[in-house]
Amino acid sequence: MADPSLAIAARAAFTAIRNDAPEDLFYFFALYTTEDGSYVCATAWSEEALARVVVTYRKRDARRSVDEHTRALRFSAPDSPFHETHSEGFARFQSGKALHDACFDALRELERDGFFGCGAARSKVIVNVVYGDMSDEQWLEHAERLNPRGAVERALPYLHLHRATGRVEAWGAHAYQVNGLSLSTNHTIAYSGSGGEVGVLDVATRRPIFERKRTGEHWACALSPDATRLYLGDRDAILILDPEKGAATSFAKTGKPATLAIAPDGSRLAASSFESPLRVFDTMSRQELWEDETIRKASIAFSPDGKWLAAATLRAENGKSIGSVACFDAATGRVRWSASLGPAYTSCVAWTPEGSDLLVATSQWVGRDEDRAAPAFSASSPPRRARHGAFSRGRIRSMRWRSHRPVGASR
Amino acid sequence: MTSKEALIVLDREGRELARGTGTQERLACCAFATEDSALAAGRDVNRGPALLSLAIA
Repeated sequence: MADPSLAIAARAAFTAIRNDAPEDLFYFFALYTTEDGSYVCATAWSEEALARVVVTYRKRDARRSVDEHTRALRFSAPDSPFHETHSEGFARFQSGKALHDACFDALRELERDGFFGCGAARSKVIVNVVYGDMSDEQWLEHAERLNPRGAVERALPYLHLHRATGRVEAWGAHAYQVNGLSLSTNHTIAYSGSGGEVGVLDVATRRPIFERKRTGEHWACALSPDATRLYLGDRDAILILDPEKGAATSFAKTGKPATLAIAPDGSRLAASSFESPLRVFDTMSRQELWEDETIRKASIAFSPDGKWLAAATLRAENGKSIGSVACFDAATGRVRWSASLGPAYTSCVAWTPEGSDLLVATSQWVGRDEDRAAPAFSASSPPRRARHGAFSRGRIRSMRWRSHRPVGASR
Repeated sequence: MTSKEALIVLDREGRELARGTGTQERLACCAFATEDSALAAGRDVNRGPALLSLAIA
């Protein structure tokens, strides 16, 4: 038998919330916690409160329609005026997984008492255990444990569920969150994640050569062409990890790298940080070759011959996000050319395999998902622009060219 | 290329060769790792694995 005290606290909180708005039609009651049960509080939404909050949000962001705001807010617990109200009674519970699990028991107990209504009225109410950071899939899984089918079906249109489409398969990695990928010329791929995720896998066998969750923040990685060294961005440095031995050593002190790129011959490493200048290092001597103060958090790529480094970045200008791209001499940092990309919220670069052209993708925020076509730049100076016809397809996050010689074909 | 949730492969003329989504709520990066597929990685809603592959026709 579950400890009834959490149900008593939940009943008290939800009753007080109802009493705050006795005329409102409440459609959502939830206990708000974390996966490890760090704390619990009550949260709820009513149709009337949602309508009021949508009006407020619409004033702040008129680019989204009322319907879009309504969909985004309908089950967004922290946006509710009832969130975390009347939750003093939860303070006495001890944190832990047991508290998390007890949330489900508490709501089931209220359900048995008919607190959320019955019959047709119950199907208009969704009850749940929610976190600040959870996927809609997990939200649905919790909801299915606590609600009749009819109530769940009414919530489904507001959820964004991720289903595999196309000829896609889960490929691998013992991690669920990855921010950086890097491929060596000898068929080895490395990944890294901001939560410390690091892996180096043989492409052919998918066998991990190294795989571990470290304590760092590895937003970016770059694998040497022979896969013997993995350069890892960390909180305030670049590390070198030997994938075979698993040992990491310091390569250079720098701001937290957002992106890393290694020259095709492995001789130079470029690091673009969240808040520090773009820096290029000699990998043998570990000496910094040059830096550029103007480039922050850029998408960077060496040309196939290693002579040039392209960097696309964003900057705030009069409240707008503006993109720009520059082509640097990789050895000296001399700017070969630069160009504005106009308004953009993302930008990324990729060289063609022969190095004659640099593709630059950007996207503009125009409503919800709309994007704008990106230009293609020649590597020659001055840049010539040519529109690449296929780029108006979603906000582009990353781009890679496939080389003429298929990677892996010789194995 | 990756957009927020989709991995898309185009030819040089911009014609779409393949497109797919996995169970990632956000894709961050991509690579051509094998002859007949592209890889992408991001944040998987089911807690992994983070890497997906898309077969290219």
